Formats: sequence, structure tokens, C-alpha cells
Amino acid sequence: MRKVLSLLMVALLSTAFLFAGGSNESSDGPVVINHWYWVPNADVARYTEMIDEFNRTHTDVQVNWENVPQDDVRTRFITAFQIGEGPDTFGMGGNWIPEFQAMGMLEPLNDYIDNWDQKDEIIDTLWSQCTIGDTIYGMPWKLLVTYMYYRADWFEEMGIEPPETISEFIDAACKLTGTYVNENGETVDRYGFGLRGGSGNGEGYFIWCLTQGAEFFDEEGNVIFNSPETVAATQLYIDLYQKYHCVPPSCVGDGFAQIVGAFKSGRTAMFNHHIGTYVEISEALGDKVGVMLYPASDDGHRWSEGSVISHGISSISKHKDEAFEFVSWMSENWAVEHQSRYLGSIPVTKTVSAMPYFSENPFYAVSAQSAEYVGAFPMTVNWGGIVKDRAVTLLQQALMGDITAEEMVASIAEELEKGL
Amino acid sequence: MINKGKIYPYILVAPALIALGVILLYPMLTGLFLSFQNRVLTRPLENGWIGLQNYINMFQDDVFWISIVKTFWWVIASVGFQIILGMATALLLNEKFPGRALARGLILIPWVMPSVVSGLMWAWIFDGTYGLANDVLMKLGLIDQFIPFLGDSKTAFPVVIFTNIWKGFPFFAISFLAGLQSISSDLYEAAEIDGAGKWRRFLTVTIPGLKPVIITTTVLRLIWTANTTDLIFTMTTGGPGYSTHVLALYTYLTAWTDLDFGYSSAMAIFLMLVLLIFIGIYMKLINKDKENDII
Repeated sequence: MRKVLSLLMVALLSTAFLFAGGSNESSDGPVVINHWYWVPNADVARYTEMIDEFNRTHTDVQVNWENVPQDDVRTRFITAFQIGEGPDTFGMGGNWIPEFQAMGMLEPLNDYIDNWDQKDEIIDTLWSQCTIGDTIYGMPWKLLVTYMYYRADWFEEMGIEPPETISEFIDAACKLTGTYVNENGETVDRYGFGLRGGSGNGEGYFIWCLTQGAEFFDEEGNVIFNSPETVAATQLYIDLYQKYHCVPPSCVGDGFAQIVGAFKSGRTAMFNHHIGTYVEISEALGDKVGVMLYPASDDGHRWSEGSVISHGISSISKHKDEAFEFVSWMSENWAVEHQSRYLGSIPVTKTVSAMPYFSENPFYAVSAQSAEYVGAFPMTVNWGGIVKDRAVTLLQQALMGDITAEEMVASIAEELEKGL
Repeated sequence: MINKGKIYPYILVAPALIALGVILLYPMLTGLFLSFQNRVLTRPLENGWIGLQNYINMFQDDVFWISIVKTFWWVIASVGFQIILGMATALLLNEKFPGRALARGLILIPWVMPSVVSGLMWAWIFDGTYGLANDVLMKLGLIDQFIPFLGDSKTAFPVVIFTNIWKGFPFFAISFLAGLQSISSDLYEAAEIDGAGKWRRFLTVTIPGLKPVIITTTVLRLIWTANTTDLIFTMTTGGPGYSTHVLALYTYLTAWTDLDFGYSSAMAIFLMLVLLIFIGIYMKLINKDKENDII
């Protein structure tokens, strides 16, 4: 009997310990908001300054930030939510909102925003990327627009003007492909364009196609991606590797790190990305690097992707008012300027955009210019899977010649249909 | 009246049984239930029981069959070469030579290194633009142009298998070494007196002596290798195309990219059933060994 009682005592004590944890606030202290966002190591100090500033200026709410690695972040959000846990606030990539909303993870923000005195400061066009139907689910925080980095010194040496059109772009890429003697006196291979064929290749491929007249949906919402324009653009993209050989032979497996590394180490002459890499690229190459708009199609049509990174509030947060206090503060001028200046992005508020620092910096200027042609990727529930996984595999198969451009485009159109 | 003496052992093993139930049985049953359901997280309204539909879809899915073939070669090539290399290393480390203790320690490095770190390290070594492997081959005059090892379907799969062999062979080496040390030297002496040469002694003394270790380690490693996703995920994410797309990775990607837990669970259950066959063979071999010992 004594043994049974002892076991019961142990069980009760264990339970008591379980219930003792889990609370992150005291009854009369500030409300603690748990916030998840991904920040590369190089930017942690600057990002921490923002959180510290919020905590310093707010006595009733304190933010506890957790840096979640970018590769895991979407998965971790979803997993945590499924078991009724996770952060109160979190950063979201543009194409996550439909998926998160479909899973019931996001708190509608319309009522909060209606009462927010800074709402007119946000650049008007950005709200659409955070909205499904008439409901706003994200607070715009930073804008990233794809443009093209190029080696200005090599272009000048060879007397080539930065390309305006896709044809000029291919011509320049072919001329720049070959060998050259680097600063160490070594003869090394050089390729015109750093094509990203590995992880994360979807965005680059879709920008290429949409620039050349491809479209995802018609006005009635029917999928029209499988068109002669898309097939032709896809074939041209494949030709960069198979026919023109103006991209590195390793491009089929190259992800972000390889693309940026190849450009910084003088292996490629051009690559597309956004302002998020400008600090890193500038530090490595100084004034040897230039930026230009993503080339237009030969008939002058331009398109570039603009991705709004926003903050969402978890639908199961117990502190939604305080959570909005934090995410709205992050979209106000001080935080937006700090983020844009030190962590690299286009400001989302009108006042910060107009500051000379941003309007006169060539990287920001080209980004702002690109923003005129900016469009958004589809807001369908399976877009995340298409761009992150399906398109990657299909493009790799097409580059290796396992499938044709027609088959690749047809498969993507089929996936887009599934998302309707 | 219940006999206290009979209950007491059950009380003692109860915590272990409860832990096993919570840690093993519950997730396994959840996986089994999920495999009969349409469970796509992004489409909560469509979720529900669909019977065997996930399994029917699985057998009609071309990518599933590609993954099965890739898994077969991935397991056979990885484990096969790990055994050969592990055996050679164990025999070498069993000999007396200066620095043997240090060599025995160093040999463990690939095994203790986290898979993600190993994957990243070898991915950079085999990088097609400025990888070390290409640089060395170029300097030796063996190639005149860099090879995109991980960007070519012909080389990507052998490269990830090579990395897995490098990572896994120390497990065999150390296990075999421990087994070698338990074989009595009398047996070798007796065989030598009977006129057996080195090769004969290896076949008639070493291999039978190591048999239980070989069976256990091989079956364990087959299961681990079939379930591996981290190394391939880090190096190629299953690409280029489907050239490194093994079933465990397909299961993972279906769950965490497509968020389709029903279909993913069906594939996981299938993989588990295949692995159960190996476990069955293992149990049979081990039991046969015990019977032989008794005889």
C-alpha cells in the first residue's frame, strides 16, 4: 500500500511541475509577446536593436524574439500551430498568406488597422499582397523587388552596355562567357549569367517567363499559363544552359549560396536577386558592381516580382491587442527606416521612401524603379509548394533534357489548376 | 486474492511499457490512421476518411516508383560499400602499429559528425563552380573542365552515396573491431596448425566469429539508411530532377512541402512494411544462430 501511495505522490508531483511551467507572464507585469522571425547571423545585432528599442519604449508589452532558421521557418510555424502552440507574431513570406489563412492560422487585421493612425503612411499598393478577399492578414514590413546585379567593370572593359531586353541580355551573357585572368594572375572560367537551377529556382524562372508575356490566370481566374509565350520563354531559359552555354555547368544544382558565391568570386557576370544582398555584394566587389532593371521582352514588356514580407498575428494568440501594438510599431517609420537602411529592403512607408538616403542610393533607386513594373505571384493555397518544390524539380529535369519545355509548362499549369 | 509476487514484476516494467506505448505505438497508430485519410493541412474542409485511396494513388504515382528504385540502390550501394570498407578498416585497426589508438579515435569522426554538417561539407567539396574536388582534379590534370557533380543526374547520385559511405563506414569498422577482439586467438592458432593460410583463416574463423555482429549491424544500418533524409536533403533536396529522390525524402517532402500528411503517411507505412521484412529476416537469422549454439 505504501508503495502505491508513493507512486501516486510521484505522479501528482510530476503533474504539478507540468502545470507550473508554460506561463510567460506574471499577473501584474508586462505582457510578453513571443515573436518568430528569421535573421541571418550577420544581421542579428541590427535586428536586435529594433526589438530592444520596442522594449525600451513600451512598458506594458515586451517582445521575446526567437530567430528561427529561414529554411525551417514555414514548417515550424505550421507544426507549432497544429499543436496549439507557436508565437503570437511572426514574419511571413508573400506567398505564405493564402496557405496560412486556409489553415486558420491568421488573425484578420482590418479592425486593428482601421484604428491605426499610421495606416495612410504605408505605400498603398502593398496592402494587396497581404489581403485575401477584403480581409487583411499581414502588416507590410519590407518590400523586396527583383532586379539584376552585373559586373560594371567587365561590361566597361568589353564595351557592352547594360542590356535593356532579353535578346541584348543573352548577347551580353554570351560575350562575357569565356576565360579571364583574375587579380591573382590565374586564368579562370567566367560565365555570363548565374542561372539558379537548384533550390529556390522557381522565382527566377517565373520572372523570366512573365517578363516575356506568360500569364498565370485570365480575368475569370482560369489558368492560362500553358501558352505559346510561356513555352517559348521556357525554351529560351533552357537554351541558356543547353545551347548558349553562357551559364555555369553546375547551374542545375546551384542554389542561393552558389549563385551569390559565384558572382562574388568573379565566376559570373550577372545574376538576379533583390536588395537584400546588396550590402554583402557591395562589400565584396565595391564599385565593380552595378544594378539594372530586369531586362524587358523584345517588344518592351517588363515584369518583376515584388515580395512583401509582412507580420501576422496568430489566431490562437492570447494577446492579440498587444501583438498588434508590436507589429504596427514595426511598420512605423523608425523601424522601417532601421530595417531598410541596415538590413536591406525597400521602405514600405511613404516618409522613409522619400528620404535622400534611399532615393539617392543606386541600389534603392533601381529597386524603386523596378517597383513600377512589379507584380505578385499567385495567392493560391498550393503556390508555396509549386515554387518551392515542383518548379525546382521540373526545371532541373528540363535543363537536363529529361522533359521538354512543353511538358514542363503543362505540368506547372496542372499544379496551378489544383490550387483553384 | 491477487498474488503480490506476480504483479510486482509488471509494475516494474510498466514505466518502460508506457514509455514505449507513448513514444512508439501512439505515433505509429496515428500514422496508420492518417494513411487512410485525406489530410491536406491547407484544405481542412476536404479532410476525412478515404479508405485505401492514398495507397491506390501511391501505386499509380510515377514518382513513387522512381523513389522505390532510388531507395533500393541507395541502400544496397551505401550499406554494401560500408560493410566492405568497415571490414577492411577493422582488420587494419586490429593489427598492431604505432599510433593505433589515435587512428581508432580519428576513424570515428565521420560517424559522430552531424549529417547536415557532413552534407554541407561534401556539397561544397563537390561544388561544380569552385569545389575542392574539381580544383584537385584540375591540378592533377585529370579534367580540363569543372564537373558539376551535384548538378548532373549521372554524378549526383553516386556522390551522395559516396558521402553516405564515408559517413557510415566507421560504424561498421568499430563494431567489427569489437567483434574481432572477442574471437579467441586459440582458434587462429589451431587453424594455422591445420595449415590454413590467411585467406582461409579469414573465411573459416573471422567471418563465422563475426557473424552475429555482421547480421545485427547490417540490418540496423539497412533500416537507418532506408529512413535517411537529412544527408540527401542537405546536398541535393532529391535533385537534380528525381536523380536522388529516395522514398524517405519523398515522404518528408510530401508532408512538409505539400502539407499532405495522408499521402505521406501511406508512403511511410509502406516503407515500414518493407523494413519489417528485413527485421523478420534478422530475427530469423539471429534465432537460427542461437539454435545452432544450443546444438
